[in-house]
Parts: sequence; structure tokens; C-alpha cells
Amino acid sequence: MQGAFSADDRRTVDQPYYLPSGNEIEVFEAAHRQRLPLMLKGPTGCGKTRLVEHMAARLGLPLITIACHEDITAADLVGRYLLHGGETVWVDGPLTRAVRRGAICYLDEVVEARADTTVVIHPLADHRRELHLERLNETLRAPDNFMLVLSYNPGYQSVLKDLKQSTRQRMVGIELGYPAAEREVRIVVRESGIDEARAVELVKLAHAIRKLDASMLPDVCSTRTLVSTARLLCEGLSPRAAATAAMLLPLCDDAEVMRGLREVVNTYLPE
Amino acid sequence: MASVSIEPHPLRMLAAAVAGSPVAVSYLTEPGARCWTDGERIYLSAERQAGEGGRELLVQCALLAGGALKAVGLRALIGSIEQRQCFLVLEVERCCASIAERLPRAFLNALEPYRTGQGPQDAEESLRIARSRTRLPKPPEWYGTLQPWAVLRRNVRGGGRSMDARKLEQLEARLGSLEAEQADGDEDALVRNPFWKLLSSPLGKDGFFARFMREIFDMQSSPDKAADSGIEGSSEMVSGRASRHALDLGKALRSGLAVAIPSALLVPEGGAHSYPEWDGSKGRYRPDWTSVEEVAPAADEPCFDETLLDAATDQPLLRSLASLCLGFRRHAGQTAGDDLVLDRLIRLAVDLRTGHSGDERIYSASLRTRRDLGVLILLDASSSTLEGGGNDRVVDRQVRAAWKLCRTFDRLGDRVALYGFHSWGRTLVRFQHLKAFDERLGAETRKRMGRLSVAGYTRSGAAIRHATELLDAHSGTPFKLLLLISDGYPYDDQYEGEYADQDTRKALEEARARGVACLCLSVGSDADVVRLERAWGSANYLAIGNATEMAARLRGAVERAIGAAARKRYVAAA
Ligand SMILES: Nc1ncnc2c1ncn2[C@@H]1O[C@H](COP(=O)(O)OP(=O)(O)O)[C@@H](O)[C@H]1O
Ligand SMILES: [Mg+2]
Repeated sequence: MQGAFSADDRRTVDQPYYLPSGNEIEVFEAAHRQRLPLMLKGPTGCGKTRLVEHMAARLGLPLITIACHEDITAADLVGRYLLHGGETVWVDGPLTRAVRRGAICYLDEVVEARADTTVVIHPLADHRRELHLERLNETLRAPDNFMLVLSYNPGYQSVLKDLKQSTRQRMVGIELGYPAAEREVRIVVRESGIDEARAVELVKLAHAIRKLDASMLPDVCSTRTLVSTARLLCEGLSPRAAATAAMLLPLCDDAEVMRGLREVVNTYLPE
Repeated sequence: MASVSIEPHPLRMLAAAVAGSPVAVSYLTEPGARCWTDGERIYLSAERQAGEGGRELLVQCALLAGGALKAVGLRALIGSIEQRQCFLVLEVERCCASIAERLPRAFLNALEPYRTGQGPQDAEESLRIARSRTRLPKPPEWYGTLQPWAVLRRNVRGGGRSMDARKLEQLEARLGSLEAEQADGDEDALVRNPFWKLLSSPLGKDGFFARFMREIFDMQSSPDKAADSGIEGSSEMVSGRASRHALDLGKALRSGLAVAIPSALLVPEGGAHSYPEWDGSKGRYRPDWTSVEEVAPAADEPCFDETLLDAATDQPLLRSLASLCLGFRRHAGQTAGDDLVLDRLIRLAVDLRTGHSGDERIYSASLRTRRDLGVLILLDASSSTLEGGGNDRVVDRQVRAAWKLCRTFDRLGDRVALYGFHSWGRTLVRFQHLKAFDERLGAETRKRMGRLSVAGYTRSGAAIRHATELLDAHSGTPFKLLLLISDGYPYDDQYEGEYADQDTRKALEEARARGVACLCLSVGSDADVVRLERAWGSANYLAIGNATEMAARLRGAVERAIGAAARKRYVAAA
């Protein structure tokens, strides 16, 4: 049995599925070889996390993901002393662990973190590639395999919270959007197991809804919500019920907007 | 005229999704009416219920998305039903193909029987094919109809003197009679009609627009000027006041179409917002009197110098507004305060034990630093603001002020929205969407600013009421501020003098009672104190010469306004 797979096949079998829209895989690989940090821009649910998971498997590297939020502190990233039975014990944070292990460290939604938190990544992001552990008075040099990947959603609120220019300039950028219709159909089919005809209808609906501008609908439906809708369909829900549950309700609360969206769904999907 | 009771169909979202940009929808209650579009608004039969009407709507949306009504030379279709139908069949096919990836499959299948096999590249090519009398399938009823008249009317531009209602009526009557002839299918009669001749003759001194100007504006005294001025695309547009009136005329013609003449036929889509108006002389409201719709700004050319938007951050204004603090907020990490923060205390204990000095900011305190402010900036985009000369008209000063304020509040982390408003009568109050609360301020906002259209009149009461509604529904902040930037001359069709002033003041009062602070800014308007107080009441306005004065005077005024609204709300609650 073992001989049935070449090494490459085995790898693709284990890899999380990712269908590229452009040259993002090549850029990612090149950045990794050149030890450059990477910045993924794109709306929610367009496949940023999936790309990173795919690349980690493809490059054979461990992946450590940190979901950023406003209250995350530098100590949450780097590590801290904890009290342990009267002793103080140092515990590495995820960023430190990633550096020590030579992993991909993925900071998801990095603009959510405050600037005084993200300063700790600056020396990791430039040519020094080092992490300073103030409390231990120790400086770690990142091994060649270590790679920093940040993601953020450029459509998001506050300009104040935007990444600092000096942080940005150290990065290689990849811009992701929602995939073109034909690709998105393939993704939905593959991720949910739904038949192609129904996937096509869902994708058409999503493409229509994405045409609504921000004054009507602050958020749009993502590839992720499309996949969820398709999964509900596989469970036997009717197309309209599935789309309402997985695509519309997460989008907004405004009753009038919901009525309008229902009308869109009813036009595109059978009962 | 038969009227049908109408379920309010929330079809605006569907229309916008398919057309790719916001579209207004009106319903035709006349039995058997076919739907059509004038290139901007869709007229949909009210008879069919939403699900069934879907096909009709999709067709019209596709025509809009594909720019079918922008075809140069559409005028040629007037007078031949056959050619119009050919054009329709060709364009529906072309436009639907161009957005096929977002059209439902069942709908695309329904188009199949009407394939022409022609494959025109653009609307002009469809026009050529349609006029070549090629045999094509007849469009089904649900393709709707084409009304080149309405499209032309919508596009009328030109120079001229003041228009009056009687002249407009005459024009409408003539257009109407032409359409009647056309409906009879009697092409000969149509061609004999002098007005048709005038319309179909080539451009030039005796061309349509020149004659049109003379007809409409009594410009016999200077026919040359008329000939030069009216041709679309001519750079010699009469400047200043004259072209402004012409623009208003174009809009009035359209609004006449949508509102004045067939108002019995038309019901605005549920997505348009109705508000009452205060009739001061009778001391009561006129319920559902005005109708406000939100549109994307769509001026073809910027009506102000866009470098106006480039100005650097106004530091004094930023500093002055930064100190506008409204409520208390808890702050951890204080060296003194009323509460200990456990986390920080432990960290300090650990640090001290491991021989570090540690951070002693272990208290939390309640400090007056909270803003939680939502600001809606409402910009008067009526043609009265075009007064003044060169690049320093009222509109330039207002735009500069609005943009500066928008950027400053945004920089400070406040929630900001920005809209321009104007009106053509009570049923056509337009909000031009520049920035909604949830949108990020950026290049897109700037682009929309550049497309702001400045024309029409000022029905300020309706605008204030809609702004209040938006603030209430979308700011999501405890403190709400409405900043109205206007020249202080409320004026619209049947909205003048005392009536207009009283309604405006009433609307401001209503806003305050709902806890929305209101401040009216006049920037370099020639309106005097008496005028401003009449329109806005004594305590609620700030008159400044230009945007640079804001830094010195705005904060105090904003604080007073917020204070007044808070008191109002308190009283209302009690
Ligand atoms: N290019 C793609 N290839 C495969 N799956 C995708 C792709 N884009 C999106 N998906 C699907 O969408 C889901 C959400 O994507 P995710 O990576 O979590 O989005 P993001 O991190 O950008 O918010 C994934 O779980 C996957 O099912
Ligand atoms: Mg005005």
C-alpha cells in the first residue's frame, strides 16, 4: 500500500485544500526562502487562514496562530512569569515558541492589536530577525525556517488603528479577494460536497450580494459563508432556508435590510 | 385612474445587487403597465407580486448595468416601435451576458428563446442593427418597454434664463402630444409635428437645442448665444447662473416626469423614507408629506476644484476638538485611583520578587475622557450655494469645511457620516451618500465627494428629519451630533418664507428631543443674523467666514449643543 503514494502525493493528501487565485503560493514560497515577513490583505472569509495552513503543510513547518484583539499585550505574545506554588516560573508566549521552533507565526487580524503590543514584532520583521525577551534579558535569533505572517482586513474601520508605515515597509504583501465565480464554485463543491449545479446558484447569489455598496450593507458574504450554506444544503435544508441561516443572518440585524436581502435570495434560489 | 393597493416590496436591494449600483424603484399602478427605465430609475409594474416581478426587474437592472440607455443616438428610435423592440431584444441579450455570473440560471434560461445571434459589442452597435431592419425575435412582455423620450428628457442640458412653471408645462404638453401620436403608430403625423422636426433636425444654429432654448426660454433676443450654449458636450456652456438654472431645468423636467405629472401613477419604493412636515400657519403636521431617497452622487464633472480636498490636517482644529470630552471612562494603569487592578497587582508582586523594579500603575480610575460621539455632517448641495465668484463661492467654503470636519472627527476616532442634500419638491428630497457611519474614510469617499452634484433647492426640514433618523439608527454612540452646513436659505417648491423657517426649526427641535445635538454652520454665506435666527433658532447656529475660523469657535458651540440636547432628552424622559 505504501508504495502507492509518492512523497509528493502524500503531501497533497495531508495538505489542507487551497485553490489559488493568482501567484500567492509562489510569492509565499519566495518570501519564505528569502526570510521576509508577509502581510496578507483581504476581506474576512476569503481564505487567508486557509492559505497559511496550506503553506505550512506544504513547507513542512509547524504553524502557530495568534488571533489578535484589542486587549492582547506584549506579554501575551512573548511570555511572562507566573506564580507556581510560591515559585515564579517563566512561560513562553506563542511568538517566542514560534521563534524557538522555527515555525510560521500567523498573527490574524493584526490591526486589532494596539501599537504598543505590535512593537515587539518589529525587530523580528526587519533584517535582524530577533526577539528580545526583556524579562529574561535574552535575545533570540530566529532560525531560517521561522516566518512571520500577518493578516488584516483593509476594509475595516478606524484609520487610527492602521498598521504603522514603518511596520508595513518591512513586509511583502499579498492581496486576496473573493475568488472569481468559476473558482469559487470549485471551492464550494470541494469543501462541502454539494453538486456543482447548486454550487453555481449559490455563487451567483453571493456575487450579486457583493455588488451592494457599503451604504446598504456594511459587510458582505464571504466564501466562508458560502461553504457553510452549502453544508447546510447537504444536511437537507432547503436552499432558501440554508442561505438565510448561513449567509443572511450573520450579515446584519436591520429588519428592513433583511427584508431586502430575502427578496434577493428568493429571486436566486428555489424554495 | 385605477390604483392598486401595493405591498411594499423591498426591491431596492435586489435592484442594486443586480444593477451593481443603487437604483431607485417606482411602481406603476396603471393596469397592464410595462416596466421601463430612464437610465436612472426603474419603473416597475405594481400588479405583479415580488417573486413574479423578479424577471421584469432583472431585465431592467441588466439594461442599467450594461449602459443600454447611454447609447449615443437613442433619439433615432423615437417614432418606430419596431426598431425600439429590436433594440430592446439586442440589448437585453448583450447586457445580461455581460453580468451573467450574477444572474440566476432560471432567468438566463428564460432568455434563451429570444436569442438574436447578433452579438453586438455595445449599445451603439445594437442601435445600428436595430435600424438596419434585420429580422429579430419579438421581445416578450416581461422585457418591458423602452422610452427614449424619458431618457432624452433626463439628459436635457443647456443654458438659459429662469424657467417658469408655465413654460415647463407647455413643454410637457408638447412632449405628451408627441407621445400620443407615437402611440397611435401614425408615423406620418409624428413626422409632421413641428416639435418633432425641431427635435430630429441636426445640431447647429437651427438645431434642436438652439430651437429648444428659444422655445423654452424666450431667447429670441440673442439666438446666437442660445445656439452656442445648449449643445451637449459643448465647452461653451453658459457660465454661472444660467447653466445652473439649466441644470435645475433638466432635473425639474425629470422630477416633473417622476412626480408632477404621473404622481397618481407612481408610488415610491418602500426604501424611500417618508417624513411629515410642519405647517406652522395651521399649527399641525402634514403626515408623510415629504419623501427622501438616498442616492450615490453622480455629477459627471466635479462642481468644485478638487484640490480643495487636499489641504493638510488642520492641527488647531484637531487639537481643539480633541479636548472635547463628554463622559467618564475607566482607565486601568493609573498611579492613583479608586480601584486596584488585580492583574497588575500580581504582575508587580512577581516583578518585585524576581528582582525587577516593576510597574506601579496598579490602580484604575474613572476619568472624563470618553467621547462616544457620532457626528453626521449634512451638507447643503443646493444651487443657491453656487453664489459668489471664482473658487471662493459658498459651496467651496462649505465643501472645505465639511471635508475638514469629516477628517478631523474621523482622526479623533469618532463615528462620522457625511451626506449632501438637495431637493426638487416635496417628493424628491435627495441624500447624496458620501460616507456612511460604517464606511472607512478613504479614497472612495474622496471620489464620491468629487461627484457631489450641486443643484436644486433646500428642503431643510425633511433633510434634518432623515439625518436624525440615520444618526439614531446607525451612529451607535450615546452622544449624537448633527452638523448642518448650509447658507441659511431654506427654499423649495411650496417651501418658502415663514413656512420653510418654521418647519426647519421644528425639525431641529424634534431632533433635540430625541437627544441629537444640532449645530447649524453657515460658512461665508451672506445671510445675516436675523436670517439665520429665523431658520435655525437663536441658540443653534454658528456663522463663520471660512473654514479656518472653525478651530477657534467650533468646540464651544458643539459643547453647548450637546448640553442642550442632553437637557432636552432629560426633560423628555422625566
Ligand atoms: N482559495 C480557497 N481555497 C480553499 N478554500 C477556501 C479558499 N478560500 C476560502 N476557502 C474556504 O473559506 C473558508 C474561510 O476561509 P478562511 O481562510 O478562514 O478566511 P479568512 O482567514 O480570510 O477569514 C475556509 O475554511 C475554506 O472552506
Ligand atoms: Mg439652498
